Amino acid sequence: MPVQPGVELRPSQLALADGTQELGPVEVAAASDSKLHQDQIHPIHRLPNEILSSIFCLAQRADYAHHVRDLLNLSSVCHHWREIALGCPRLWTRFRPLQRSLFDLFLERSKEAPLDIEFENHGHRSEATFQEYLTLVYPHVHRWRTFQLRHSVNAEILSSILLGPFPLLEILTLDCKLRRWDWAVSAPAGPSHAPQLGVLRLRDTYIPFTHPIYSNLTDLSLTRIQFSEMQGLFHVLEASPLLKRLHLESLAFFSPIPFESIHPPPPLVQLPQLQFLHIIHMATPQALRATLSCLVAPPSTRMVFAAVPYLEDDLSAFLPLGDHIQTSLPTLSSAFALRVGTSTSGCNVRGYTSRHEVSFELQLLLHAATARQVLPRIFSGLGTLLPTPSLQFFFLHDANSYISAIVPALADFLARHPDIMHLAFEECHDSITSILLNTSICPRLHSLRIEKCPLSPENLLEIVGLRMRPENSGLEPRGELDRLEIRGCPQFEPILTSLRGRVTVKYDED
Amino acid sequence: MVNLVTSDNESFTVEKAVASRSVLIKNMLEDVGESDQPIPLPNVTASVLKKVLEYCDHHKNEPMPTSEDLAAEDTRKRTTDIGEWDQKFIQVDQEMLFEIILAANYLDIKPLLDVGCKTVANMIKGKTPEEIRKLFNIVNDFTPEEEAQIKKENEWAEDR
Repeated sequence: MPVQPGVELRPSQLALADGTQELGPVEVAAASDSKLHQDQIHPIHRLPNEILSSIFCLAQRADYAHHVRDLLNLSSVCHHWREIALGCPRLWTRFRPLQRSLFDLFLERSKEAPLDIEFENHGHRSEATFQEYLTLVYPHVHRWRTFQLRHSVNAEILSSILLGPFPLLEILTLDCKLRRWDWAVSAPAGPSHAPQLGVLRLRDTYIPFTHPIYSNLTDLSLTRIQFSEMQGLFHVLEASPLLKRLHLESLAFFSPIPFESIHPPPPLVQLPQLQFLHIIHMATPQALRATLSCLVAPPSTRMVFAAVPYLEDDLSAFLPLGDHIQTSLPTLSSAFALRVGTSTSGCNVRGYTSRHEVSFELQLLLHAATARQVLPRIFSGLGTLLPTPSLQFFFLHDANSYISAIVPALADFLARHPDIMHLAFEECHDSITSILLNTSICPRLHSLRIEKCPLSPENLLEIVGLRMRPENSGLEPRGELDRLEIRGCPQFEPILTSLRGRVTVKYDED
Repeated sequence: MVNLVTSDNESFTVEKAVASRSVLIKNMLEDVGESDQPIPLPNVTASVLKKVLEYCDHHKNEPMPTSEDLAAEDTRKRTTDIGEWDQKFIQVDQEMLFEIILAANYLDIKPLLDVGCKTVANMIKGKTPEEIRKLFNIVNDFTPEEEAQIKKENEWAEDR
């Protein structure tokens, strides 16, 4: 009979567990008791070992000191838990500089499992610590699964570390505060042999695109690297045709990027498997535009861009030509729904698929002083510079800071999209919601949501009256509005009965 | 519809899409083909199956995890983030929590097993051995040799 850890057995049960005695009536009764007792013990004791070890793996924390402490705690609970923790090598594979005895203990318990090697210099670790750590972990380089180095080293040292070979390396993260130009002679040689490498994250560090490291990558992140010219970046992307995730951040280009086009035009870079594209805070808006102008990605790619517009910019400063968007970046031209949010810190344009999933997001950081000039231009570009042929739902949030600037541009945008069937306004000024008094705007409006807007009851009644579908009136329908959703607008309470007589109303006080 | 019979002989009739969240049941249905025969689940009681079916019903339209997803989870760092609905769903007493985990394991419902394991992981994260013992009613049964080794390990950790 297996003895459950944490269970105090009575003498008769111990006899059964021992199995040395013949079963008599007393023992049979005890066996029955034992079953009852097992049923009453804490249910965690009934978990199979493999589930308990999965739970131990999940219980690890990102902070390394906590991670080490938690592992020691888990293996100090009881004999059974200790056996499971010590019998699970993958629990013990994460390394940062450790006290030598503890390092040896972890290494021994990791058995032959692949290792996760990290070194991060927060300013208090000396070069000697790094060298000492390297001496301990480098003999096991053939077991490295991830290598994450955030430490200022020169290209020569980094090249010697990357000599490898790394037969199991899957993820390589380098943030080495190197001189970060792609043409610099100090660029380190990449890993000599890393056939499993799928994820490469480079920050302030560059590995030449000619290195075979790029050919099998599925995930590439480049941050704070300065290229001599745009072509340098394109060569990297061309060298990585299997990418599923691409993150480009704060890249700069030594040669100025012409606004109209790059000469000679570089060939298009095809990334047929791309799922996520993040391009944020490039040195200039033109760098975002030029990068997008050369990419071809499938319609399912989710895209996020962040940029700081100049005073005179419109969407054409960031986005490539509409033809290129429609043929090569269909994600950007297939929005079923569009949400525009403005706040004191900028403007956010988000596109959704018909399944209500975010397909793209454009985050524009704006100062209050520039917002009034830039925002109308952004609205002017919606539907033109950013094609929206399938748009049916438009949602505007918190535009009241810039009302005088955006009302005409918004009215124009809505007038250009007669097929919009659903509109939502949140925290919008009366002058914005009152646009709907003009029935030539959104003539097919089917549903309207008003949330926390100061629109007057009189104006809402008039909008509904103008746009509702008349029933048995014998008149030509003037509109198709049949659903109204109101939230956080107590001023409409007195007219709810009147509204409900005309359209379906969902009302929420909060 | 599919008819499931629990260990305490209670019968549940559910949509095939709901029952098929369980890989065990899905495979059984595929093996047996169209049949009115009830499927016995001798390791699951009615109260637990009711809860498991609530989970399956809520997630019935989601894509099943592929073998690629499962492989990726094994090789990458897993987080203990739990979705909002799942968090509310799993707010049950400890007895039920572990019964759900055991049922999810038996019925092969990987996402539910994950939710259960993450919940227990979050319960033990950052706790001292004594706090964990108290939480789960575990007896400290180390031998003196093990106690000595644990003490040594803890001293090394203090020296770091």
